[in-house]
Amino acid sequence: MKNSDDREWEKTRNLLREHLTVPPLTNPDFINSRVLEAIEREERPRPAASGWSLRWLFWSGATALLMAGLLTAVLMPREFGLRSHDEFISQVISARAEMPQLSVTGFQVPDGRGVVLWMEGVDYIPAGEGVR
Amino acid sequence: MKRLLVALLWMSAAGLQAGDRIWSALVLATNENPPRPVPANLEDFAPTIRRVFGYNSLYLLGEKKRNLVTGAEEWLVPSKAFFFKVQVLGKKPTCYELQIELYRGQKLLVTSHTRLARDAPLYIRGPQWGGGQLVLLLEVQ
Repeated sequence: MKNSDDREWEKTRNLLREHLTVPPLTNPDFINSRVLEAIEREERPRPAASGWSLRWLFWSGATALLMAGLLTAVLMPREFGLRSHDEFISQVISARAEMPQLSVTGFQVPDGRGVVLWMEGVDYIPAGEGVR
Repeated sequence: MKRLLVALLWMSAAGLQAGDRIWSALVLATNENPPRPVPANLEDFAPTIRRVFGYNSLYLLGEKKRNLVTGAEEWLVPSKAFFFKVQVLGKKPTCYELQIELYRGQKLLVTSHTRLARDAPLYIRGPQWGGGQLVLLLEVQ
């Protein structure tokens, strides 16, 4: 099988050699010069990528951040400033008992951010009385 | 530098956001041996209640949540016996200014002008009930 394929291929090749002819070039010098130019272009060492684009990226990013910060400071001054820890703590500004037998005191939770209102004098509620 | 960044992130995250809600709860605090497991909703409050009020076991008797809208008045009714009227006087970047009234049934017990920061609750020592202490909680969440 293989031998017959080889023979067929040999026969086809001989036929092609006999009948195919190379077309003559109309302007061989021009084509030659273009080919040489192309080869020269490919062989020419490319300039190494300069750091310019990276530097440009860095500085443009930094400038954008700075501009964003400045705009925030100008347009939203209250949001821009760092807040003190006290602003995150609850606070009883005033507290008033509304019944004569009651007293009420407000104080900060020790070591915490919460706040306590301590009522004194509220009637005891027996266990049988529902509060839910 | 890293610490500064973390602080900045925390500060911005801790700021008030749109859609804040106020949560109220009525809690019974008791002393039991051994202490009973803390209900999941009260885990954040248990250490303070233990330290300030001196109780080791908590029961959540009722809770209620409402939206916080500046200028609005909300009734928070964590139980039939105790409830709050809360008026939002103002909103700052980190806290709400609230006028809080605590009622027991028809009776007004206490009026308070309080600045409530997010996740920094108000604990109110209520009356004794049975063998324990009633504690009322208000928190901006």
